[in-house]
Amino acid sequence: MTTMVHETQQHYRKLIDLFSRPGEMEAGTLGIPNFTRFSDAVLATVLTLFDNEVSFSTIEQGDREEFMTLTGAKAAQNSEADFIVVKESELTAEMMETMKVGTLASPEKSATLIIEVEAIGSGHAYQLQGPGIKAVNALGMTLDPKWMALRDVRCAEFPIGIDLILVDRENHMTVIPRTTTVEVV
Amino acid sequence: MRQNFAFLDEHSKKEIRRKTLKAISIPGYQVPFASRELPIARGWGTGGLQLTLSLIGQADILKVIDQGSDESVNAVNIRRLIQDTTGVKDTIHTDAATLIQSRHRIPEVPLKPYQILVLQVPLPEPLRPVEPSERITKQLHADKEYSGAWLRLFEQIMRYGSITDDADYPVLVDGRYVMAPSPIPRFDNPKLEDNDGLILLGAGREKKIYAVPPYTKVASLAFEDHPFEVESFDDVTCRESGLTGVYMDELIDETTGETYYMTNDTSYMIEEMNKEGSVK
Repeated sequence: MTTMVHETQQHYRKLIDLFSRPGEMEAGTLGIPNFTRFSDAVLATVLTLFDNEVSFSTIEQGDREEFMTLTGAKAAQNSEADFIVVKESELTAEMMETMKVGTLASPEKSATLIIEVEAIGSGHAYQLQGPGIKAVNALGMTLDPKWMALRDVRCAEFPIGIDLILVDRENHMTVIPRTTTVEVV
Repeated sequence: MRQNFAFLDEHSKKEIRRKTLKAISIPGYQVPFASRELPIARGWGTGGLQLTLSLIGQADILKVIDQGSDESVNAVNIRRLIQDTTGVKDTIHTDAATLIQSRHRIPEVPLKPYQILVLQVPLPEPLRPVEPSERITKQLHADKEYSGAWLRLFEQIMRYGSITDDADYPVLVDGRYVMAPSPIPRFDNPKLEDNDGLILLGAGREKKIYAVPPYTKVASLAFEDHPFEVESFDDVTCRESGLTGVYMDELIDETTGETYYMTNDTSYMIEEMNKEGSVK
């Protein structure tokens, strides 16, 4: 029998593979109805990671209430949130400049940005290097390079920084942790 | 009695999972986590066990080893607890396993991509021998101030002529964090670097999770005039299998009083002995 327990476990293992192998791509959804504006893979990631110990921010009231109802997570300001769930079209420079990056002593107290982009697998050509990547990983993605430049600024002083979970409309996911060096080709 | 799948409740798993993802994002950094009570005592592999329980799913094939052996009491107990609460298949073959929990050894057979090795850690803080305060060691990591770790090795050279740390030999991960690799022999330290698989380390009593992602630079601390050396087994042969160049246990034959050597990774030894045309 498969239940939420098993489905979130499978989704978590995909996240484990993606975090440890930046730029690789996997598809993942849970079989539950989705009443948010986000894709099923975003909802699956939220259900896998959120609970009442977590704070998050998202722009639209309906999505916020849905995430809170499903997981018990608390809504917070962008600058306080452990997770920010956002569509690329709604990203702002201010959001990226104020989100938590952790401290040198506790770099894990940083925010994870879950961004829904138009497509992963096509679009701008990115090249990734760093831990988890054997030589170079090529990643096509519609995410505007200006957001990646802002991310680079926030990740300049390792170990502090932000980790990105990128999801597209077709439920493909990829991860760019703070250790990854990103170049736009 | 009916148990939760993989023993832990979902809230506990979620917390461990979030911390594990952070640990992978910050290689070598010890992420604090709320270590849960388990039916085995802290200090007996509960950190590794919590990682395994948070990771494992129905499709996994599990291997549990204790110092190279699939059959020691600790390995058997941990494997039984995991199997009783998940019903997953188990194996002794490293290359057949998707998830490996190990105490104090990295198997002889190299990990494959997407395989996960979970190591049990008694003392996760490499600076603890020189600094008893957790608050201060945390600040030393923040400042990348590792003189204490170097000085400790230097003092060993001054006192004994060489570095005497055998197991738990400190490493520098991705040029940033000095990390305790758990009490694996020095022989296993080079396997941490550029590994195809993911290595997760869990300390239950000390409440820390940390990670070495695949393809990460891991250097054992050493000096130019005292380079890092692994234990040498060049001139010994395994009495059971005739293998050479693997990590060996030194044993004494109780009837003859003679010293002999045997391969420490028993599943690897069995695999080699079962091959056609094996040495013995």
